[in-house]
Amino acid sequence: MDLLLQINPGFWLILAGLACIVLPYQARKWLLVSVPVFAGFVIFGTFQASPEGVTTGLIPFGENTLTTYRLDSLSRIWAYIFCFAAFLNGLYGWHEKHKITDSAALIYTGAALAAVLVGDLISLFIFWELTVISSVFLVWAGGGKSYNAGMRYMAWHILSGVLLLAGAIMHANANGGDFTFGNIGLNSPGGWVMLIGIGIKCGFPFLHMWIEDAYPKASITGTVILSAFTTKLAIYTLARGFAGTDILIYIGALMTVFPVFFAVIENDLRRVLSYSLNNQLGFMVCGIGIGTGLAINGAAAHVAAHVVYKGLLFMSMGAVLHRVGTVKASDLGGLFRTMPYTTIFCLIGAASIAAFPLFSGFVTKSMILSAALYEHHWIALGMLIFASAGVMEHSGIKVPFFAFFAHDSGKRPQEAPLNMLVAMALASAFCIIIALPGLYPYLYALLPNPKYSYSPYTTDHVVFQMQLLFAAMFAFAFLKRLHLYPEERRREIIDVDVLYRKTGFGLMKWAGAMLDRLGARIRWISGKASSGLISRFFNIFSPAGGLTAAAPVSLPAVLVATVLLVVMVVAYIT
Amino acid sequence: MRHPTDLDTWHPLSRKFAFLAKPKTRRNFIIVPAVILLISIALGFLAMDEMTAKDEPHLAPWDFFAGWALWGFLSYSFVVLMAGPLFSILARPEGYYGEDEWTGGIEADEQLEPTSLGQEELKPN
Repeated sequence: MDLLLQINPGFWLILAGLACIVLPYQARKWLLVSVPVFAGFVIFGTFQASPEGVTTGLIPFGENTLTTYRLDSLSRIWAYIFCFAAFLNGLYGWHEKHKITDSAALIYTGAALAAVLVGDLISLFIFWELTVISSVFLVWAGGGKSYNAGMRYMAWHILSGVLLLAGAIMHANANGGDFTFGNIGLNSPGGWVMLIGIGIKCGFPFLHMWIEDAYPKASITGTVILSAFTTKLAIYTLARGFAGTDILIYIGALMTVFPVFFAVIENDLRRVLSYSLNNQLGFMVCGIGIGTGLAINGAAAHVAAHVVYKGLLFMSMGAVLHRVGTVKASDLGGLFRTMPYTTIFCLIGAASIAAFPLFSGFVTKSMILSAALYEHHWIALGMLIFASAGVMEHSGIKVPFFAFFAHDSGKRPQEAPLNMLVAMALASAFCIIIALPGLYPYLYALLPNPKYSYSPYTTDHVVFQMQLLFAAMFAFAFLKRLHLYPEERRREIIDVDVLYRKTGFGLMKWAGAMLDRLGARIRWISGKASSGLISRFFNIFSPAGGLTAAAPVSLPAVLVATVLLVVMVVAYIT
Repeated sequence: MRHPTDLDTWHPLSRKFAFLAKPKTRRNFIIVPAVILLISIALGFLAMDEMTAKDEPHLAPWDFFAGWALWGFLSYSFVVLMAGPLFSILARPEGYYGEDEWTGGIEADEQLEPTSLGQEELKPN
C-alpha cells in the first residue's frame, strides 16, 4: 500500500492507455472510466496518509534527481479535477469503437496528470511532450482536414516543449544546476524563454491559434478530451512558476477580451467554444498574475469549474454534431424539439460559464474579480468585466440559442446516446452542486490557500452580477429586435494563423519554386561549364588533340610526370 | 385517424415547452430580461446602502446602483455592433485555406437532412 502511494498516479493511466492498444472494446471502456477513479482514490489516499503532501518517487538522473511524484496543496485540485474529467470523458466516449482514440485518450490524460504531479523541470518536460504526442491522435481522429491541423498542433506544441526545456536548462544553470520546479519568475533569461513556451500551450495572444485551429477539427470525443487537459496543465505551470508576475495580469486581461470579437462572427459553434476557452484561460492567467492568495485560489477554482463546464458545452455540441453532422450555426436551430436533455445540459453549461449565481462560474470567477478589485487593478478589472459580458454573448447566448432555439432548421435528430447524456448529466450536477450555498466551501477547502476566507454570495456580488448578465441579455433581445444582431453566415474567419497558413505557406511555395529554378539553372551552368572544359581538354590532350598534333608524344608525358612530381612533393611536405 | 403533425416528431419532454417555438414568445422574450434587469437595478440601491453601511474599502469607479447594468449593456452592444465591420475584414469564402471540409471524423452519424414535417413548418403560413 505504501509503495502504491509513492507512485505518480498518472503512470497508471499511461499504462492503462498502453494496454488499450491490445484490449477488446468492453475491457477498454471499463479501463477508461475505472482507472481515473482509481487514480483519484490514490491521490485521496496519499493526502489522507500525509496531509502536508508528499515528495517521493526520486530517481537519480546524472547529477540531478528526478522527483516523479510531488503532491501538495497546489497540485491537489488539478489532480482531482483531471481524474474527474477523465472519468466523464470515458463515459462520454463509451459508444466510440476506435482503439487508438481510447488508447491516446488515456495516455494523454495520464501524461497531463503526471505532469502536474512531478517536482522537477526535466520530468515536467517529458510529460509535457507526451501530452502532445498522444493528443495529436485525438485531433487526427477528426478525419478530413484534421490531418493538417494536427500537424500544425504538433509543431506548435513541440516548439513549446523545446522552449520549456531550453528555458529550464538556462534557469538551472543560473541556479547552480537546480532543476526543481518551484517559483521561476522572470529574473533570468531562462524564465522568459519558459514563459513563452508555456504561453504557447496557454494560448497567449498571437500564440493562441492552435486552439481554434485544432479543437474544432478533432473527433467529437477528442475535442471534449482536449479541452480539459492541455491548457489547464499550462495554467498549472504558470501558477507554480510565475505566480505574481505582473505582466501576466495584462496578458490575461487581453486574453479575455480579444476572443470575444472573433467568437461573435464565427459560424462553427465548436470554434466559438474554442475562442470561449481562450477567453476563460485569460481569467486564470490574470488571477495568477495578480498573485495574491485569493487570486491564486480564484485561478485554481476557476480551472476546476472550467474543466467541467467547458467540457459540458463541448459535449453538448458534440452530441449535436453526432446526431446532425454539423455544428455550423447557420445550419442549425430549433433542436430543442427533439434534443431536450441536451438542450438543458447545454443551458446549464452556458449558465455556468456566464457565471450566473448558483452556477459554478459564479463562485470561482468572482474570486478573481474580487482579487483584482482588492489590488486596485482598475484597467484589468474593467477588461475582465467587459469580457464577462462577452462570455454571456458567445457562450451564454449564442451557442445554445443558435443550436437549440433561433429559427427552425427543420432538422429532427434523435436525442443524444445514453452514455453522452449520463456524462452531461454528471457534469451538470457538478456545475450546480459546487456553486450551492453551503456546498461551495467544500470546493474552497481544496484550494491552495484554504485559510483565505471568501464569500461569493454577498448582496453586492449577486445583484451586480445579475445586472451585468441581464443587461447583456436585454441588449441581445433589443439588438435582435432592431435587426442589428449579425446573421450567421458560412464563412471562414481568418485569425493570426493566416500569417502562416496563407502568407507563410505562399512564401514557402514561392521560395520552393525559386529554389527549384535556381537548382535547374545551376545544373545547366555546371553541366555546360564541365562539358566545355572536358571537350577542351579532350581537344588538347587526346591522341587526336591539338597538343599531340603540334608536339611530340614526349611532351604530354613530361607534363604528366611534372604534375605527379609536384603532387608527391606536396604530399611529402604535408 | 388524425394526420401526423410536426409536434408528433418532437420529444415528449419538448412538447411541454412548445410555447418556446411560438412567434409570440420570441417577440415578447425581451420582457423577461427587461423585468429582471429593472428589479436588479432597484436592488442595486440596496446593495449600495449595504456597502456604504459596511464602509466597503474597495469600490470600483462603476460601483453605483446601476453601474454594472450600464457596463453590461454597453459592453454587449459594442461587441455585437463591432461584428459587422469585423466580419467584412476577416471573413473569407469557405475553403479559403484549401483544406478539405470536415467530414465528421470517425464517429458522426450521417449528415441529417431536414424532415419533411420540419420543412413544412418552415413554409410561411
